[in-house]
Amino acid sequence: MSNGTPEQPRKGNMFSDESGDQLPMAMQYDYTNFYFGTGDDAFGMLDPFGDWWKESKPGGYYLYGLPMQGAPMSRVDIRNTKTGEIHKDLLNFASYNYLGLSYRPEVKQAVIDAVNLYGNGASGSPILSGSLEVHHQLADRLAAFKNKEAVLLFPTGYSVNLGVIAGLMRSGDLIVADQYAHASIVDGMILSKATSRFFRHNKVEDLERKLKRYNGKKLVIVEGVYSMDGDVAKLPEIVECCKRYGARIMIDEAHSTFIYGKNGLGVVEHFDLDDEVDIHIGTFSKSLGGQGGYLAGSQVLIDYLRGFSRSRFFSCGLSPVVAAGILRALEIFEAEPELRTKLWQNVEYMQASLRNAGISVGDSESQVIPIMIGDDARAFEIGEALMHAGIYLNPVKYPAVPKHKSRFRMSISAAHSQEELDEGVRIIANVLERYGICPQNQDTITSTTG
Amino acid sequence: MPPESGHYYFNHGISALFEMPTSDARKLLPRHLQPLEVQHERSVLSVTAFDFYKGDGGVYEELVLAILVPPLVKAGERLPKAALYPFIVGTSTERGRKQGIDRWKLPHLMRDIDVKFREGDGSLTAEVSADGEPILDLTVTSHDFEATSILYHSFVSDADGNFKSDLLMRGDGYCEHEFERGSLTVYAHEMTEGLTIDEIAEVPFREQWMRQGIEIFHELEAV
Repeated sequence: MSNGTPEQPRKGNMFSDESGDQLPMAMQYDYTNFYFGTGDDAFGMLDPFGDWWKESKPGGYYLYGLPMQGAPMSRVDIRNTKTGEIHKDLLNFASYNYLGLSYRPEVKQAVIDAVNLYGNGASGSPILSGSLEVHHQLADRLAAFKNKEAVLLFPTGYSVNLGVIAGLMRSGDLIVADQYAHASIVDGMILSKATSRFFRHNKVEDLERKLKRYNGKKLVIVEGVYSMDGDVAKLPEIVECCKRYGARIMIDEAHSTFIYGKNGLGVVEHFDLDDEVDIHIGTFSKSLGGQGGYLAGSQVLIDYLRGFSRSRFFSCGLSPVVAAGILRALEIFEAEPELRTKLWQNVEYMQASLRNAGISVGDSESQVIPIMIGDDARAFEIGEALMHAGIYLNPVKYPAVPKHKSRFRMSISAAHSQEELDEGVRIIANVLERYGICPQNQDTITSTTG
Repeated sequence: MPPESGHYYFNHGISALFEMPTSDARKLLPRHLQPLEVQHERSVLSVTAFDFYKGDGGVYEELVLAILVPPLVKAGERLPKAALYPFIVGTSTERGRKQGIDRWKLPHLMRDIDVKFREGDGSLTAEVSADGEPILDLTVTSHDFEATSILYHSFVSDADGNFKSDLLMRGDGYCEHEFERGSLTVYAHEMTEGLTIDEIAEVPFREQWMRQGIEIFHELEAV
């Protein structure tokens, strides 16, 4: 620091400091810096953003959305959009597909049969012409599996949260969600115009603070397994608190249905609280390897929201091709409980192996395992190194997660072999060691730029 | 050698960001500024305490309560880290208060405050009061310290118009983290009027601590 040295407001360009020194743009700035611009032109932010993006993308942002060359199997080929090179046979720990169902031959055959029967799209809103027989078959089968009176299908997981929350809650009502709730939940809250509050992650005492000062209609929203940390909702305490204050409970089990509970019904079954939760949300893109989402509940809830869920009402129906694939995947799931057994063996093996190697995995207790690296500045660099070392993993850095909590989000699948898990741990440990993030001593993790 | 004009030298500057209701933030901001939301209906209260040992205001302590707002990002100008609208400032001396009002148009509590800094094991607490009445207690915790230079935009408004100053913070040791280890207790007081105390987070989502730093105000410009 130059105490006593005259300081003048010298200005370099927008990506340099007052002395004109260039700042590392991919690290120093992020998308949040370009949220607001000045002037009256709606495109006014594009020029400064474009300048930043041109230099930042090769610095690491290119790691997002790399084209996969085939099915999301346990090993994949990935095209590097910076170099054009195809990285062959990478260990895939980035895809959901927790049960390896997306590319099963029976699923692919069901998809082919559906194409021959229905063609490609639903060609209409589900409340008009876009409901095909396969949609009803899937909804009925899923309702039976979930032990609920009915199921409503949505074209995406995002649209189900948007449609259900905004379809049910009104201005003047209160919605309280866990602070780590998915963006689709937050957007549903905004769209509903209800008063919105967030409680600290899994802190029931904070939830109670929010609930007790409010009279009127209340909805509490949690997730079964949280997608960035892989930890589980403290559902027993949350349910007890909600009952005490007369709040309805909605749970998004995108990452926990078909995985948690004796029969795979989700975290609600795991805690034996299935009947205590009012609204059950799930998706088809995770365990079943398809696309879309669903609401499961009472018949009257489904009938009501069929008319008020605008995100479904005003979207084209779920593709019948995808619906047929999901239906077949669901049948396989029910017929082959060993898939879940294998997944949990893999999860327990990988969790133990990573921890034994000294790699921090946070509070994860599920198939979603964050590989915590802490060092925000080098997340991309380490991501590149992992890819060159033979692993496909997506970096997650600030602002998607808090500062100094950068990580790689690892997804474990039943399709991974034990050899692949061993190889994964070995590569990750080697790369982290190379970057001075000693797996045996996480305290040595430091940030170079903050 | 006398300090440069607009320079304020401090031993410790601690700051933390807390979620607060957007409805409160909107009431505290002038019409031309919008609060920056970290979450739907949740804006950001910035609480900052300094112990200045040299500069335009001499030796004094200061508490700044501010709302985070979007910075003025312009092509060709250095990107600021963030932008603030200080809605109330408290100082421990009349000299510190006078120059803050005369030169920087900052709204002040018009009597002295008392700021007691208490350093713990990896933490620094500022206990702020006035005439024996508590205003707030802020605790910030440490992480890895390193030298840094940070640019902020600071906005003020008065009867003469709306203004912005580039505010540069330079420090030998600076740390910033989001480990949620700090704390804030806010008391009902003239300085905290306009804040729904029950709705302010007690734990910061970001903590900042600068040691041996300079706060450099650049001249106000009309916006």
